[in-house]
Amino acid sequence: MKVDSSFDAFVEARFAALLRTAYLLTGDRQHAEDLVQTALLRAMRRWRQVRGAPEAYVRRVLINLSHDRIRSLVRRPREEPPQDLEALHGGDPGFDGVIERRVVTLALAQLPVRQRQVVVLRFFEDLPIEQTAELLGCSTGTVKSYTSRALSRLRELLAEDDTESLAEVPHAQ
Amino acid sequence: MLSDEQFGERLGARLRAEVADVEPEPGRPAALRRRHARHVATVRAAVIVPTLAAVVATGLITVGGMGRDAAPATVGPTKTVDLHDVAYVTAHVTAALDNLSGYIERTTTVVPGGVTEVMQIDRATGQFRFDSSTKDGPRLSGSSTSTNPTMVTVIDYEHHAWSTYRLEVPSDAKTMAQVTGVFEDRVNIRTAISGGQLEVLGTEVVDGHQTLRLRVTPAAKVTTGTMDLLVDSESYLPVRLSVDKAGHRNTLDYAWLARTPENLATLAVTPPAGFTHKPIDGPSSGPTSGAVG
Repeated sequence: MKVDSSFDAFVEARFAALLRTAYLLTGDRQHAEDLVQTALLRAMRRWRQVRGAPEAYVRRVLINLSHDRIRSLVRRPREEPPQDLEALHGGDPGFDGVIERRVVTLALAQLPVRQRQVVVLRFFEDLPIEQTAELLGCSTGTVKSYTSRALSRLRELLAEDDTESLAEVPHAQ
Repeated sequence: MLSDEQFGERLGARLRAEVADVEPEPGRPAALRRRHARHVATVRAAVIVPTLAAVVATGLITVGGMGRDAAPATVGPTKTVDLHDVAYVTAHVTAALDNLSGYIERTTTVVPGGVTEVMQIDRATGQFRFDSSTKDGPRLSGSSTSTNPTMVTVIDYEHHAWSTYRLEVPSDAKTMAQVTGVFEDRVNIRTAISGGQLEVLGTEVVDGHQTLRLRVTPAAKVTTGTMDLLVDSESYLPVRLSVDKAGHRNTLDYAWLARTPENLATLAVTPPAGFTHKPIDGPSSGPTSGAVG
């Protein structure tokens, strides 16, 4: 049986990128995987209608699903640290870097969900204010307000880490 | 100091680098593609079935008239309710939504997967509780304190664990919607009504409540779908809200509880004996305000 291959190609090409967006929206890896899968399954069922702009559709579903009423009130317990942390890194100077690598991601996870969504859409996805407003179902003024509050809070949260260090962007792997 | 735009750009670059190693679990994309193949096969097979069913149904109606005598859906007793004009209804619904501080609001919804979610919030203090369960039992419960700072206790029944975190409350927050991103339905309904179009469709009895059925079409710039809203015909408080969201029709059932000591006490959760306490990474400091509702 012949299957429309454009859906498969879309999944292949965009799954990882969508997962990263979902991860930043939720702050939870497993939740992010579940969201992307659900969003792609919905796209699959409407593929004829959304195939012209599937990413916009999936992104909208991700935003709405990340707004899950219960999940957004739940914080995940941190992973249990290894019994012998010192022995594990053995004085490796790169170890601390690994621990601190996600400092902005962790700060982002502390924002209220709407502010987090605005930061992800505007600065991670590089979407203009108008498109961000459309995705969130609010006015451009509201997006600006959320942006201002979010950045102000992130400046506070990252202050101890030295905001200027943001200039030192680690290389993507 | 960096401007907001410069700061945001650097945040974006840093975030892209930080999550660059986030990759799908092996096999996830392939599993989706397999589901896609099965979906296509199912859809094609399903095209044949309705055609046959239509032929059969036509035969039944022609021969015996069956289907015309099908029992009507069960409805409750009705009484005469005045159908006021749109302006009157709009004013009363808006006023009801603006004066909730005397109630504990409880909403119940069933999400895909058969999970029932119950959200409760004391609109006077902002204290809230949430419960998620399936037919097999509870999955997650949580509740906040009404004190400052706001602490949230979460019970994870699947992992027999519980944890507590401090809820970050911006000093300028006026509603729980601004703090948590949930409990927004009141805001969404209010926004949709004030900027959109409201129609009064008729009356209906729902769970013993005489209600008015309203349809709210939000303004074009609001992407929330059309809302079908049932409001109590006397208090004008929401009884049921159905709205298109994320490609699905979501329905919320409302209950409005009096702020009695007994009802307020039910907002607290207590970890069951034997559950393990697990710490959570979260905000340890920051401005907090008093309770918001």
